Amino acid sequence: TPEDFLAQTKLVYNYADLRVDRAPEILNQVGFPTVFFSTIATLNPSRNKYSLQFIGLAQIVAAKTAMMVKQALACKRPDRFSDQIQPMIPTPGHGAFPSAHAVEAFIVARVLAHLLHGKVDNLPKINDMLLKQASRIAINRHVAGVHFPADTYAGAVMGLTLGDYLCRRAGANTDVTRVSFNAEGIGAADFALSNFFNNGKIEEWRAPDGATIEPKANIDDVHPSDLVHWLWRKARLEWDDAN
Amino acid sequence: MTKLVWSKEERGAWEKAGFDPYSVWSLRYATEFDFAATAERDSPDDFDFALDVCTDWTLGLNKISKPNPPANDAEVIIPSGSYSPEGAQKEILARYRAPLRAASISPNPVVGTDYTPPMTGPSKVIIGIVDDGINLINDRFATRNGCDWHSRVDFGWVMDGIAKDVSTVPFGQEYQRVELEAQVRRRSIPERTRLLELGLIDFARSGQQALSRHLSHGTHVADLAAGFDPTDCRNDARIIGVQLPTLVTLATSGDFLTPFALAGVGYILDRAYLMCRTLGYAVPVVLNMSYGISGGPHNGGSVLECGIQQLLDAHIKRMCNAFPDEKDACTANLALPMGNQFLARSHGYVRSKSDAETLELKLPWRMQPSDLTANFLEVWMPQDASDVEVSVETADGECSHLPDLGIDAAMVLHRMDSTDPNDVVVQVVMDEQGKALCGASALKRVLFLVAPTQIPFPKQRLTASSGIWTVTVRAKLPKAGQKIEAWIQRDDAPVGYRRPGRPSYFDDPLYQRFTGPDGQGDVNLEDTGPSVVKRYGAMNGIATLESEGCRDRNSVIVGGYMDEPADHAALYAGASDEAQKDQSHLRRPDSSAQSDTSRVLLGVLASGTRSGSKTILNGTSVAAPQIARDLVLEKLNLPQPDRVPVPAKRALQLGQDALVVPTWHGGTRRNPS
Repeated sequence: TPEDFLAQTKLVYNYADLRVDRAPEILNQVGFPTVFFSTIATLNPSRNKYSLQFIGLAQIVAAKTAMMVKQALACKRPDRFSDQIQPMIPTPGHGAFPSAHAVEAFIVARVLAHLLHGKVDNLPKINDMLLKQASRIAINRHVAGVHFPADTYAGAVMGLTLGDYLCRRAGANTDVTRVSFNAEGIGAADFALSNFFNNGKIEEWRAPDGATIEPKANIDDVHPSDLVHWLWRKARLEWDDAN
Repeated sequence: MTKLVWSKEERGAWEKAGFDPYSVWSLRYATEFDFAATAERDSPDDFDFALDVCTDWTLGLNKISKPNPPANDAEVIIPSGSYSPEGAQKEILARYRAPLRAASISPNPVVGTDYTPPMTGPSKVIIGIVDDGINLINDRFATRNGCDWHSRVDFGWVMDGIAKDVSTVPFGQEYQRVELEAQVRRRSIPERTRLLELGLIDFARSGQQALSRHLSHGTHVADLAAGFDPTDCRNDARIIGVQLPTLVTLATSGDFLTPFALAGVGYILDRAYLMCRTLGYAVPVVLNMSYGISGGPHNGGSVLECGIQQLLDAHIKRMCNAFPDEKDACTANLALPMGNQFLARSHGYVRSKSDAETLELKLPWRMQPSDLTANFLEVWMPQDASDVEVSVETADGECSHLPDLGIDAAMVLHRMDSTDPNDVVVQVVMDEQGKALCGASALKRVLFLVAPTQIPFPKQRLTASSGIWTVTVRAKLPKAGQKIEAWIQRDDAPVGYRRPGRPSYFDDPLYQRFTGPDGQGDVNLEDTGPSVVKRYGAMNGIATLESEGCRDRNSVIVGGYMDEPADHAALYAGASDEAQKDQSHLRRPDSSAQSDTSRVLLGVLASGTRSGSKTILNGTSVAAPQIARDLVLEKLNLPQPDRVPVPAKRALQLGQDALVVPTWHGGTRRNPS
């Protein structure tokens, strides 16, 4: 609703306070900020070239899907609601909702968790760090003035589910759950991942003014892809000596 | 150029209602540029509040009602007194504008609270921190035994937090240990999320969010005074945190500080007393308040200083009454910083050499261009100084004497033929300290309040010209050794904040900024030459408790050194003034601690806002909590760092002794641990 957009605009306006702290990070995260995940999962181009290719694939899947949804929903960006937002980077021409940075960041975090599953001892801690990094990248977009927290909710939900879907197509043993996010009634709710994501899966959440995230039934008939499976297998092999 | 004239000012509704001169300025003349004009409002009622300090040192909160449009103060309505819970009207000592938002005011009367003692063992010391942006759930304020985490913070008061419907504090929000500990224990939830849930960060509210940044003054200072590694399990070191409203911190000239600082100190002592009564034994209190203003009478007789001393004394007295056999534990000590104004060129004086001498203090006061905030200058002299003459020469060269200026007879410089407050560029006020507070050493003040030199487009308000304004004050001083002394109020941005204001300063050609015959040497750290602008005496205006009426025993004033202890004062370290035989002098600092590692490695290391992070902060603000911590270690019977005696020539900045650099907080910048 218009009230939702205005309440969210106020949040974005107040987030600008963090530009002093975050400006260099934000400028480094324009585009695909893969290096921010490489530092956590120790991805090295010569050692992990297939993993990086798989991540690249995931990012493209995320970006293309996000673009289609942005086109259909055509939501205005924060700076269209107030001239005082004054984004610190150029506002892209495509719509605000969902945040492509959020979809891309969360799909990478999710894909890496699947990639490392069973290969490293410390997966719960690494998984936490990857998800926090994805959150930070997404929240930095609020600070930059180009996204609402609502866009990040949508992007996180999309990225996490698309990550499961992609890895399942690749042959990983993971559930794929349909999740719906209805942003009407988001009000002044700020983004926090642990509001709706716990114990490795998306849970039900309701914002005070009515927006909802609802996991629904599992999808069982995911079509495997030989091509994606080939890349997946090669990537998984790169982690055999990870411990 | 606009023609400006001086006129006598009509005493208006704000003065009659008892407001402090800085508050009157804010309410009448600063409506286009003060915090109320520039800060975002969440509600139309925001900022229309007043806090009273009553003669019994309690506080009262009132709402200011103004007609529309609000610039007209002719029909201001404020309840004409403060009310005790029984409804009896109390006498007001001072009244201040309160920069509180409507959301911080509870609709219902304040209720009392209980204390639930921790299950983790006895308490040996209560550390009270009054500061800005304290992360109450930082791991440094918690303990950990394996996976069992506990919070050491028993109470926290965020003064500009959102008030609960039923509130235990007069404004803002109080946090109790139960709530904080619940969050400390949720180790799998990111700290940011936990801070959001507590409301300690809230981007839906207007204003700057101190805890969302990497560094916050309060968390760093609190870590120095009260932080321990969680595995040390120092459950005997309890913490009470008070966070002053952001807008009060931003007003670095100290306009609104007094009632909030008093409320904070009083709250800590009241909660400590509650804790002791519930526990059944006395626990000593160590407080730290790393705040400073540059102005003030500097004789210990300001409202804030007297109030602090009264509150500390009253607490000690009630503790001794309640625990007559435990007097050793019935203590309350407060650490304050010396201030960072040594080189700010914000202080000057002339001193009489004989009785009944007429002196003149001529001050070249430079206002910077593009300065979006007001500038304030205070000139203090003995209350019985006579034949006081004040003249002001504007930056445009217009000189005027102000013969009509007197106590309760203020003067304003304004656009000719206009009675609009927004056409006033300067207000000059003369007032006196109350003799009840200060006895024979009471002073009187000539206060100059000047509009900014730039007001942002498209506001049309008249601005002051930038450049040198020359302020001259002549007076006959009864005795030898007395001073006409001036301080410019601070106008800088506090750490971690953005604030549009450029400090003004005394620009005197006789002031020797650098050493060497041609001024090409090093930074000059001595008051050489004939200039009236002095480094010594530029010290924190709320850290001077020592005057005839207000002898203080419980506060410790801390200076800052750089490099090896007691070798060099930090370049900015505030200084008391030279001793003169039989003459009054400012309070000396008691001790010092490191505030800069070296000339190029600034600051000391302590916690950033987020648990596990470390960051740098400098200033005497970080020296004071180190001394507070030393007192804490003493109460805990833990080894204390050594102290080194300070050579006499540095005593005015570094006190009697200097704390050797301790390594209990993250090491030093040269050797981080």
